[in-house]
Amino acid sequence: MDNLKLKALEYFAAKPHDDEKARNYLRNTYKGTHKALVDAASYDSLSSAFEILEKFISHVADDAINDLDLCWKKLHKGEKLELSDSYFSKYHTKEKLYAKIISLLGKIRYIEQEKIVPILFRFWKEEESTQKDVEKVFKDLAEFNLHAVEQIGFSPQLKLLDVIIQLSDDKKFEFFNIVITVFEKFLSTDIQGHNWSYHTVTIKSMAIPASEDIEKLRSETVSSLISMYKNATKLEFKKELLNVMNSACHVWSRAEVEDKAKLIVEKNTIDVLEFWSSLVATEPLELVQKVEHDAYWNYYHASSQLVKEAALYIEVVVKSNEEYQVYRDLIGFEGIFGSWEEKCDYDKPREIREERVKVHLDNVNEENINEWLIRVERYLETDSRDLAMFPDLFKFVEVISSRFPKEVLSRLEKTGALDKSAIPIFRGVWNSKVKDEFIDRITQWIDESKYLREISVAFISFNEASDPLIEKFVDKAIAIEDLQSLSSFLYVFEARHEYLSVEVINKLFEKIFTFLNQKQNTTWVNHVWFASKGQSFIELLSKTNVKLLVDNLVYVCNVDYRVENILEHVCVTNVFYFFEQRIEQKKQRDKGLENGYEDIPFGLYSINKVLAKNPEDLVVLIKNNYEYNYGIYKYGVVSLFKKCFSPFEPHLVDLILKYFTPSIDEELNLILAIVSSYEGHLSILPLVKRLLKEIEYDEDVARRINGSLISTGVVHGEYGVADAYKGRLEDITPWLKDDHVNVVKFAHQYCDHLKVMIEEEVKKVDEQVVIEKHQYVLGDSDQ
Amino acid sequence: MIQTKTFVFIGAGLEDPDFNHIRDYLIQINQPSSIEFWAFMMNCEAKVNHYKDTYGINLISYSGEGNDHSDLLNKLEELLCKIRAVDSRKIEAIELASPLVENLENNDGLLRRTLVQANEDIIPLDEQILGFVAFFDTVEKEECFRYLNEYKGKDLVDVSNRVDYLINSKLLKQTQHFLLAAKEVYSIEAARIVEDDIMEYLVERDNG
Repeated sequence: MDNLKLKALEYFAAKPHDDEKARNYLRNTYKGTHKALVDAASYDSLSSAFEILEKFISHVADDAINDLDLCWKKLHKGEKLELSDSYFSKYHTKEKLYAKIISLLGKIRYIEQEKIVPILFRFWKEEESTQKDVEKVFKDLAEFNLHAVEQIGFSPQLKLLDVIIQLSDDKKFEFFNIVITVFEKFLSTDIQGHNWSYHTVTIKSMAIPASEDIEKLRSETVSSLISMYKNATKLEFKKELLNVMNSACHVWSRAEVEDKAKLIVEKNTIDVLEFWSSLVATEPLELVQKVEHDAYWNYYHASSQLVKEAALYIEVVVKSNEEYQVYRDLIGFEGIFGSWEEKCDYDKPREIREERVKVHLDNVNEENINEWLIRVERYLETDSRDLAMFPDLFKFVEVISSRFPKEVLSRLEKTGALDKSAIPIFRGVWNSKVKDEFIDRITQWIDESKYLREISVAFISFNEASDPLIEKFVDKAIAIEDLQSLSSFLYVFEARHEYLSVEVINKLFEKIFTFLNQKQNTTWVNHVWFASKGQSFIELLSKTNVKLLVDNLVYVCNVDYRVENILEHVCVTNVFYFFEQRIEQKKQRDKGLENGYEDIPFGLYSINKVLAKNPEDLVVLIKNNYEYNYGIYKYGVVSLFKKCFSPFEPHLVDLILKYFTPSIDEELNLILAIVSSYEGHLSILPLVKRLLKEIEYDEDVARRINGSLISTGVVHGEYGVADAYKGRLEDITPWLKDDHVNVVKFAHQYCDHLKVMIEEEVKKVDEQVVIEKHQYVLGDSDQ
Repeated sequence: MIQTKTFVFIGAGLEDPDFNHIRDYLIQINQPSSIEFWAFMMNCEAKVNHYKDTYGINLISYSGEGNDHSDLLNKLEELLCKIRAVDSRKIEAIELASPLVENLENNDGLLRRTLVQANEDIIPLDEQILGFVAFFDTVEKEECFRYLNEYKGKDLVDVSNRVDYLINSKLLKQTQHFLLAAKEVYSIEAARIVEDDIMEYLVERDNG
């Protein structure tokens, strides 16, 4: 649809819904849209129908809802979508269309709430890829929007609350993410609206009023959360419910909150705290910890004595849960140590905790070791993605493993529930009296391919681990292709290279990297990149092994600071070899249409300093690998020049002209590609001037030089481009008085070109500014 | 507030003793000319100069007898139009006082009155130009000329002259390539008049 027709749509869409002429025009327009929606055959026609419908959907809401639903169903039938160009198949997907349908329904969320809510629930269930989009519409509907509140009050939220309350418990958990999102918004104490103007946005804010609607909304939300918690079976649901309940206890608004509204929140807070206190005796310790943490902070920020008292009651009941006292000492990443009412001292909790862990350690003996191990198993069930939250527990396990090695190892193998703490167990047992027997056990495990990853990490701490044992591990990991264990093992080289012979390191390294290169696997980088800046095991590697390492790094898709950190330990020749190989690899991968491989990184973190020390090699690398068939192409290998020398240094002019002959057309293109990569920066002008003196000047050359100087890179502000051109004009003006005829000729031509560009750019921006101000109803003199 | 804001008194007597006390105090410490008071008063032409010179109060007279203050509304509307014409930043406040939609019916004929004011005569081409631009709010000049020349059969020179005239009269705005409608009530009326024409035009464009 052309621009004029879209504007006509906007004109009629802005009219009241009962305007006869608007109704006829929009109904008529909708006929075409309707056909595209119900056919749902081609991406382009649907996409364009959505764009048109977006302008006036509120005028045809009834039909649009039915047709969008029909369209959704048809798309779901699995028929292939027609695409005008297969090149875009990655972007023009059904998922994009689903998201657009949801967003269109979202536009009529207030006027057709009853109809769209059940549809959105169904969409959420039917299409996992767009669940976030559906949740966003529910979020928009549930949140307090200042403009909507001024017009229609809180009725959308109250209606939505009714819908959710009517859901069965099973349904509430089925749509858990939606329910939680909505409830969280209902409990907000701030109401926001935004006003957009020409280049400013104003955020308006008011606090919730102390109205009956708000009181009902908040208290019923809290009751529903409590009821859901009672019926919840999954730990993650319970945690999330506690989180949302906690948000019922906070008052925040940019505007002042009236006292009566604060009282409503206070009542909600007390309800929540009372419910929490009932959980402490029976709920999993992980949840008790959360309750303790959140209740403490509610106490700390309490707005009234009543809230303080309710929170302090939780402190009392938590204290009476004896098992939790141990859990807090050993896990306790959110636990509150010390009395809540005492003044906060940041060092004291640490001291209290250390003392208490010491007491626990003293209490462990042969009679109760199993009891303690069962306890550790239970504590290890605490949710943690990386186990980094349990340092105290792991220290505890290491100590008891060194004291009771047989009991701990026996339990580890028997139940598997201690697996998460295998590494500290191994460390403890290694330092125990049964070390020799343990070495036999490790040998056996390696034969059986058991605990390989844990052993790979534990080797870091195993003093005096024998070379044969380590080699046995490496051979086994290669034999069973355990890439993860091999990758993590490589850190052993870094951490313990002082204790390993150079021969052993090289022997094992060769085995490992020959295998990793076969697999094109580079995961090890994540385990070694942070190695010390001092001597690294890489410096101990033979030339052959360094080549194996660099060959491996060539397989990394994107070179980042981690890869550069490793490369800093290899000689500069290998760094150049690395980039040559990447360029080759890219060519191979491009043939297979494999995406995502970046031969030359967009930015360099540290290795550019190494390359810059060898400018001649860099120029040769660029010359040998430049894409000559692309003409003046500032990306790819040529971009390395600017990454190494920024700003351009005058002494490089001779170097460039030593290796590149401007009279050869292809090499002139290469020089201009280097010029172009500097985006007209002042520092590059000496090279351009020298070039002008060396070449036979003609219109074509002038045009090409002009083109390589004109790009501006990133600029700021409406007149950023024009200002950049003005800067260029200033930089080039002294050339008008140069001694060399080519320089003067070019300067005249370039200045004229810049002046025209500046004038056009200023006119274009002036016009754009006037139009934008007009759209936001501002006069010429307004901001 | 009296010292920093402009006050307009509507339906308020100026003989209130407390007000007079403040007024006299301000006159003692300032010049009457530094106070910005405006007041609507029935049949007060004779008092205008006296109030201005003595108290710094600008009287706006409206006609009426007894309790009939109906002319006050006309004067108020006139005032809003004048404010709108000189200061577009006040549009939001004016719309609050006199919402456009509600007043549309009352404003029928405002376009004609505006054109008469600018022109002393109504030229139908002006209405068509204003209507076309107002309908699209921001439209390329080329589109507007094409519509009036190819569809409405107007002479291009005439169109060009009238566009220039309307821009000079501040009834339209322009940039290098675009014509912009004035955000005024008469623009809404102008757009409404050409709705049918434009719908037909768009259909004809579609049919080539």
